[in-house]
Amino acid sequence: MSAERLLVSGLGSVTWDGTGLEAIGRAIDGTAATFAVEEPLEGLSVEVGRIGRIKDPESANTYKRWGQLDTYSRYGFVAARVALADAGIDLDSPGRDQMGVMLGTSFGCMEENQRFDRYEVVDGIVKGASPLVFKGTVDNAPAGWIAVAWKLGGPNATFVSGEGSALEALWSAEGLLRRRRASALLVGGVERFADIHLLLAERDPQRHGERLAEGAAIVVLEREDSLVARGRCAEDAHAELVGVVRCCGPLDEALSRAMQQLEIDPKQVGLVSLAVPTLEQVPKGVVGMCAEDALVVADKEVLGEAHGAWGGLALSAAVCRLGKAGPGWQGQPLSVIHTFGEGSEHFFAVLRATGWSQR
Amino acid sequence: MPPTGSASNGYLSPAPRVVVTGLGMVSAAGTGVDSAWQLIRAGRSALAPVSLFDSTPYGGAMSGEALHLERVEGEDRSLQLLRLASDEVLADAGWGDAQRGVDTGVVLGTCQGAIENARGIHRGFARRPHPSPTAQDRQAFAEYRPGYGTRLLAARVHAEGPCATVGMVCVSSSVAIIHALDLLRRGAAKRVVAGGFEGFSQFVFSGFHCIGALAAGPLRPFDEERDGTVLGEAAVLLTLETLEDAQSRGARIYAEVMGGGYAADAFHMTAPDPEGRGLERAVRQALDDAGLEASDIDYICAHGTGTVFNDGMEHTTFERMFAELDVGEGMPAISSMKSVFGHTLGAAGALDAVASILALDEGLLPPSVALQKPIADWDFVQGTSRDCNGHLKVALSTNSAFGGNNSALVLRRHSSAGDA
Repeated sequence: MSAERLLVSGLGSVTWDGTGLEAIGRAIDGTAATFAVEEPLEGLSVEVGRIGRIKDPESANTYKRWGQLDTYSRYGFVAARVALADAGIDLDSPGRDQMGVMLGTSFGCMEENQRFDRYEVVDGIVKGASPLVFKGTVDNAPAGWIAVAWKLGGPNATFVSGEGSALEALWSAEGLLRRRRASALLVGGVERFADIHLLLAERDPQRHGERLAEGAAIVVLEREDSLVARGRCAEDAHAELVGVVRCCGPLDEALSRAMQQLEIDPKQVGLVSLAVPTLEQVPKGVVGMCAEDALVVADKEVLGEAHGAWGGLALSAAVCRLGKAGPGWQGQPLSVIHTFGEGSEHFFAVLRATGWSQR
Repeated sequence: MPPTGSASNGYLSPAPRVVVTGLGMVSAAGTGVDSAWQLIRAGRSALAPVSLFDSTPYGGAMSGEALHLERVEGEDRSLQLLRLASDEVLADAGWGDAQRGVDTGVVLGTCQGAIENARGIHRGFARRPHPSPTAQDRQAFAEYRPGYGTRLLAARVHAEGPCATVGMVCVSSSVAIIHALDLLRRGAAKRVVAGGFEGFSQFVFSGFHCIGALAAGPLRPFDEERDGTVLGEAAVLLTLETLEDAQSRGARIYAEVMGGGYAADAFHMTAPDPEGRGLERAVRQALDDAGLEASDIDYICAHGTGTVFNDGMEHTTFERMFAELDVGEGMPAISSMKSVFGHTLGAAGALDAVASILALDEGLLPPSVALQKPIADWDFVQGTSRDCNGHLKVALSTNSAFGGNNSALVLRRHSSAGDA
């Protein structure tokens, strides 16, 4: 029995330069706004891809509880709104109890924790403990708000597994869809930074980009039968998810094994998006492994370091590059998106351009 | 396309059976699974007045603190619990050098992780001008990241394979177990330490107080007079392995993990759907995953937080599910472990799983303590544990959480499968 295709039927993102794929495109093209400069400590200037307290009129006008959402949740919510609209899924769409939300984050609700932790016990009375703020002190707040707002009653999970979180969610989502536990899943990552992150987050120069960047990027990953049942077809989708693989070891060796596991010909890979901070850190073995003119990118250079949201952003950036130089990616049907997992693990997601024949 | 050697559903073909070969627990009952099980068997509660801080402003509520802990200066409470539980689970599983490496993974769930030591950085960096960060601040922040405990445990286990953390409040550790099951069935690991950890903290206590969720007196799950929950703390770990590997190394097998499921209420961020449709979807997924029917369930280890809304939701859900499925003999036996240990949040799902596993292993149904006026005419296990005369084969463990999350795990007594 052959596996049914899983399709990326919608995309939504929020970055420091705006909402939607266009903002990611601007970062890739080098036409985005510059990073903000902040001074969290006197004499310490840092560049940050800052979204801040997002105001999204569309969300505010359509969701009555929008005002209750903490900033971290708002990022995920807006990305989900854009992705669902892109996929053509709304509150009238049938089968939403078979649709779910699978997200990743590295730091999660830390900012809300910090806000809630202002309570004091004064003269025997607890003061300043806000029920509304407490509601946001859970890492799964964005996934919860999205499910509540769009009545998505399917699988719902939040992974807090560092930089690999979004692709951990994708790995899990792939399994759920192939086992028919859901018809469509919103999958991606969300990250919000406060001063506490700017000052205290560790930076590993081998895996973390120089500049922190807030963001959320969510894709609608959908079974082909679900897409067809909604009156669409595979060609309407952005791309097909061939698979997600997790491998340990040095990056180039792990990538090689991932391609073997997915039984794909590396020479059909036209784009390799690596989570290394700069192009200089791309292992030499990666370049020779893929198609001759394959594009190898380190998008953290232009999009910033979004930690747990990175996998979602990298997926969106890969879709953004579709068709820019010939059909598919550089004239090839496949792209590989990489994130670091915890420890020595790597995640690799492989996308196929939908215009290509399946096998 | 699924990985090589996989069926179209992504599982290895055939999907390996997954068993539990080791247990570790630190809780209000003490260090060690045995101390917890003795308390459960006796139908005694470990809940006591809060000791960590003055609870008078909160109405003098109770807690399920691990009062026996000898604190280590500088070590976050939750990480201390995790360290102690890891000692036990590794010894119990008999893991050694052969279990190290890339085939070994760790999946944990937690709600707030190392929140105890975070208070200093929360407050120190709340308003500008900030102080210059100290090495202690940086260490507290590094430990505070939700995945830290998982990495810590991975280093201790020498696990170089999959390493994941689930942040889903009260379903965190049950979803961690389900994720571990997925890793094993899909061939991403051969063995996984799974579970959850949560330290008792004034931070979370203040939150539950401000939303009015704390009990004024004892925690009484499924009692007509229940009035809230009591917060506890625990670290609970399980080693999961393929049946083939466990048998080949002659490991003790406690139970088989048959299936799991999770689903959203899509109703409200903090209140459960009164109809429990999300919980029902999670249970149906778990049963389908296990290849079992509702009528196969002998025991439900329910979430049973003691709050009006949660227990009411579970009541409605189970009554509807089991009535619709025409079980015949009615509801399976049911109880909640929170009356014994308190609500351990990120560790709750793993704690309930371990209680279910021990119940299956010993053929004893664990009781709900302090249950006097049950909300339904069900087979509640009250008072002390009940001998099942060998009829206890399949247990269902359920949990629900803020964010509208629900999870369900189906566990089976190993010997009942005829392959002990």
